[in-house]
Amino acid sequence: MFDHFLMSVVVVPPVLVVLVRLLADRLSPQVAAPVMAWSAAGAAVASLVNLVVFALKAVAEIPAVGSLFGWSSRIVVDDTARFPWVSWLSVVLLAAASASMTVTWRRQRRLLALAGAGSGLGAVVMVPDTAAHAFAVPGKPGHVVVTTGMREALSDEQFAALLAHEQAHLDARHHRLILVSELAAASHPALWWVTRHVDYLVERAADERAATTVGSRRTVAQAIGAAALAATARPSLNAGLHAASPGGVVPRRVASLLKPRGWAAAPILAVAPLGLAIFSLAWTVEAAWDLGELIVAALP
Amino acid sequence: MNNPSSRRKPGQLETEIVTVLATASAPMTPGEVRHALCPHGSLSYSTVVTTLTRLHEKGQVARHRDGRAFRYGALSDPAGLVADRMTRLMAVEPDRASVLRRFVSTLDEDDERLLRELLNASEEP
Repeated sequence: MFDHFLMSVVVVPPVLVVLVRLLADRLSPQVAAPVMAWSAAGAAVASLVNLVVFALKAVAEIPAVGSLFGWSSRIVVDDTARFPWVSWLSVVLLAAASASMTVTWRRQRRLLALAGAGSGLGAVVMVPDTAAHAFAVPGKPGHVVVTTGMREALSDEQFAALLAHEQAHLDARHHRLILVSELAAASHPALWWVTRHVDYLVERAADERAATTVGSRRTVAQAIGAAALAATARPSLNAGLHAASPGGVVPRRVASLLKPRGWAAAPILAVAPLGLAIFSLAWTVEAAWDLGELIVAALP
Repeated sequence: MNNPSSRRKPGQLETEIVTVLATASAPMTPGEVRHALCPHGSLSYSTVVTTLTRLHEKGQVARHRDGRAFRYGALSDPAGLVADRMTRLMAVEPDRASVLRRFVSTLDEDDERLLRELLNASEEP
């Protein structure tokens, strides 16, 4: 059973990170964003189920549990005799992953609850504030919050591009992709690198969709540029928080829009990360099956 | 602590401020609140600011940034409420990886320079 742990917990997540890194900029962002997010989710579920299987094995290794249910705990221990630490390490990792996922889930719920106050006021909520901010709040229906400071920084065409971009997030339910990849990263640290790509791809997907809506990729590029300069020129209350965020996203988005549209890789390559996740899930099912067989073998 | 208006009971100033904001037609700056409460100027500006800040921390008044100052409003006003929620949101929400999708993140110096170069190049035919 040790090879299952090795594959789904240790090998697959970093390999997925490499695949995502190779493919992220070479696929259409509208395809790549959901593919990368769900691949991360699949790899995360496989890793988590593996940890659960090994945590159950750890319990089955306890002599008292063995005598209670009538199996030989010795035989259960011997299955991974060369790596006796793997079962109990899994218990620790599972506890850490659960705690981290709970924190992530609660944080995002809190943000949504806090942002939900604007619903019912219309699709676009204008907030009188000189700081330049704009964001989409998902919900039924979702809405877009824009400050007057942001509106004044943009021309009418650029403002239309901003609204099209935020509407694209709401239409494509991008917040779900973000939540899924955030939870995946919370369950396995290596997947944090995938989350960073998903975060960027979701923005690129909304940019491209907005470019189609307003009929000009250049207008979207200039809207992003003008908005980012306005947001930076008048730093908001939390300016200090931005220092730690990975830089370069805004210039990369603008540069991508100013280049002709075109993706280097065939869309079929998108099956590679999905396939890896599915492989890991199937391998995990086998781990659960093996545990069942092991318990049966340990019964008298 | 250093309440200059000894005629007021504790908490009375807070009640008076909330009343002023609730009856106002638009969100007010601390200076306007002070003038409405006490046209003769016996109430100090810092006392008004301190009290408004405390009321905002307690979630009893809404506020939003207007230039370098804050404007305060009553919580009954829906637009004021949204503005207040947004100000709080901006204070807690990190830039990246959030279910709320922001249009842009702010730029560091290198990004700003790079962005200006890109935009300048795109202006040329």
